Amino acid sequence: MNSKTKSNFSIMVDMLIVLIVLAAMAIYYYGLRAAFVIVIITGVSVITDFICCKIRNINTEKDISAVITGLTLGLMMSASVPYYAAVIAAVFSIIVAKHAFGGHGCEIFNAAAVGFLFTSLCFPQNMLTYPKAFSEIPMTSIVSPDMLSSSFSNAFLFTESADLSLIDALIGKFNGPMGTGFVLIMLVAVVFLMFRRSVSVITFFTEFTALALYAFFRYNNDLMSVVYFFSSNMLLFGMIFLSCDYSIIPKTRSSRLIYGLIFSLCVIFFCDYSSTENAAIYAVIISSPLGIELDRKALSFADMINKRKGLLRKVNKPLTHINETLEILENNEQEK
Amino acid sequence: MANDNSCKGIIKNALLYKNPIFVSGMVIAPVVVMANNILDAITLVSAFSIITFFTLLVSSFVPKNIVYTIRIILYTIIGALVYVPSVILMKYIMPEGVEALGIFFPLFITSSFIISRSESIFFLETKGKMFLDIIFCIIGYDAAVLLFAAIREILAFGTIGGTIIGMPIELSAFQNPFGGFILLGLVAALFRSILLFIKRVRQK
Amino acid sequence: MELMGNIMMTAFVAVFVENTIFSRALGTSTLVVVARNRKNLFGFGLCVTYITALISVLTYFADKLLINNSNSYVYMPVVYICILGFVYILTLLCMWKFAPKLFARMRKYVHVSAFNCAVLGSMFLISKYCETLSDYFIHGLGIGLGFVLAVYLTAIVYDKIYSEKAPYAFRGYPLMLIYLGILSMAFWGLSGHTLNY
Repeated sequence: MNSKTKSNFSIMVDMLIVLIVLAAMAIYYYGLRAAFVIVIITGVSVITDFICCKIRNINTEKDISAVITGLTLGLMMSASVPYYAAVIAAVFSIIVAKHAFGGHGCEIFNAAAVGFLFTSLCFPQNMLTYPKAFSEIPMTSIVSPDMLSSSFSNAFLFTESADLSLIDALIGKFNGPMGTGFVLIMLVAVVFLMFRRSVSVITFFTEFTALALYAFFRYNNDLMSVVYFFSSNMLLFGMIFLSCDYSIIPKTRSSRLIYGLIFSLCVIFFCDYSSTENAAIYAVIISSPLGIELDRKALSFADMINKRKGLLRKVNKPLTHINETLEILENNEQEK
Repeated sequence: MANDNSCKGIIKNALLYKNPIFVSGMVIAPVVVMANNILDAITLVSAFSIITFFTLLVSSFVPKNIVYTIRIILYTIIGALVYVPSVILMKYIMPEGVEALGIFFPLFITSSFIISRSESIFFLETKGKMFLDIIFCIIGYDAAVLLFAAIREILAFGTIGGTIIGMPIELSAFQNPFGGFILLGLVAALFRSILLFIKRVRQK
Repeated sequence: MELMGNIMMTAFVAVFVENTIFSRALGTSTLVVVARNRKNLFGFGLCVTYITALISVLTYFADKLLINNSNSYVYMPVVYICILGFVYILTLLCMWKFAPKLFARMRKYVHVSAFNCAVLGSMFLISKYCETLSDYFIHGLGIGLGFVLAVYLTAIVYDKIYSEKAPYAFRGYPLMLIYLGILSMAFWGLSGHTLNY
């Protein structure tokens, strides 16, 4: 199936399947509270989207983007996030990041990334502290800080080492967002999405290669550190669900390659210079507008090449009259 | 309505249809950064009003036959000279406010009102209409800043004028410049919707 | 090598971390006007960067000569405006005398580039946070480049911001502010601390 002809709805369904699998894992790890948070965020996203569409009088048939946004946002949250913060994140992402720009297909930024970032800056203490996996998290809106601690990403950023086994790193058994640490599952998911042509192969591979090389040389050629690097900072999750979001990704192949490089560069800056947790979120927001410009440049370059090819075809045709040849050469010079 | 040159039209434009903050986007830097509570907003609008009014008042007497390049420099020099007594006076009346305002106080010297709007609108009008326009533009700016600051303080701090009003949630992101940008955008959109609604009601 | 590293770091901080628009909103009114036309971007960017770099050097000497007491906050703005005016006239005169074709093309950019809050604000910021001449110059250059970066990032999405698909209430100016706010949030991640104003 060619991604050019694959419908938007089909891509969204594939994404939904993968997100549901991740959500199921999150619920398995963090229990009923995780389920509650995911349901609240997704529900509020859908309701807000519905209200906005009614006010704007637009058709929402075969548009499950709000569900995708809600699930993506939910999986980025801590299982102990207060319910009000979850609601604010959902409402903000749908109204400000999606509908203010014109709705699905018109966004500049990934709505879930924007909603998460805004709420994490509003409530850093609540959003960036996490419960342990398989611990009993109370259903109250505010969870006691005694049960919570900072993330594995934060520790790895500052100490550049981790006391975590390979299996635990791959299955996401560390402190962090609910659904962004399941490296093994996400790797299987990305293969599935690539076969289904629901995620950009070029972008993903560019980002993966660039960041893997960076991590390998940055952390003294230690392969375990590369695994920790991809497990942390929502990196793999961000690469699949945020930077490869079909509504914001560039449309041409060359643009996607450069976009992937820009994303990787931004992640490296955020990790290296400011040691910012969840660098993938910041990187996807900064690289999104550049994706639009890359498309524009790629299309104007292609247009220029096409015009030249058109002229060459004209000159190479067998000419019967010298005057015709001269005319074409003159037109060629004028265009230059 | 936006092109009405009568006194009523000038007032309506200055306060509503071409409001400097919510519609025209003039001098928004100090609003986005500093106007996150009413007390700082009061200092901000006082500084802006004094510098803008007296600078434009004096600049209106600069002869128009002087070349544009020199005129612009004269306006800013006049603004800088107006700044000196203004800052001394305000430092005496509200020293903490001036401290909080920081570099934004002297930046009013090169505001869009003095650099561009003066030449493009104010100085093309008759003296009477010019003063009316300037005064109501300043009033429109001040009112918008105070309103915006009040909303921002309620959302970001849960207070108004320093008094706690018992808000259940504080969105501390609105304390920062990025929050100022986003909130100003949302309030500007709301303002535009209200104007559109009023226009439609009047048309019916 | 270390010196190069310091210079790169200073420039990086000035362009990205403490970007004039995204961190301090200086020059937003100018950005709203200039971002309309992408063709003007190169000329405008060149002008702004040249002006901020040149005035940063002059600001260094002015600060060394004149800032020596606690009342300098009163008269330094007058000094900075005089420096700005001098650079503005000098630039126009030099272009008119030595490059009349360039003068005809760039004249419209020089005025907008010189007299805006970003340029005057840069003088105050540089004066507050820099010490050596190279610091002043690199910071001044960085501020100009950072301003141009912000204008560029806004100009590339101008069509989307003014698109018919955006709701009327948000179309244009409100959406531009929201867009700047979202980018500013992302750039905040680079600084991660409260900036002094």
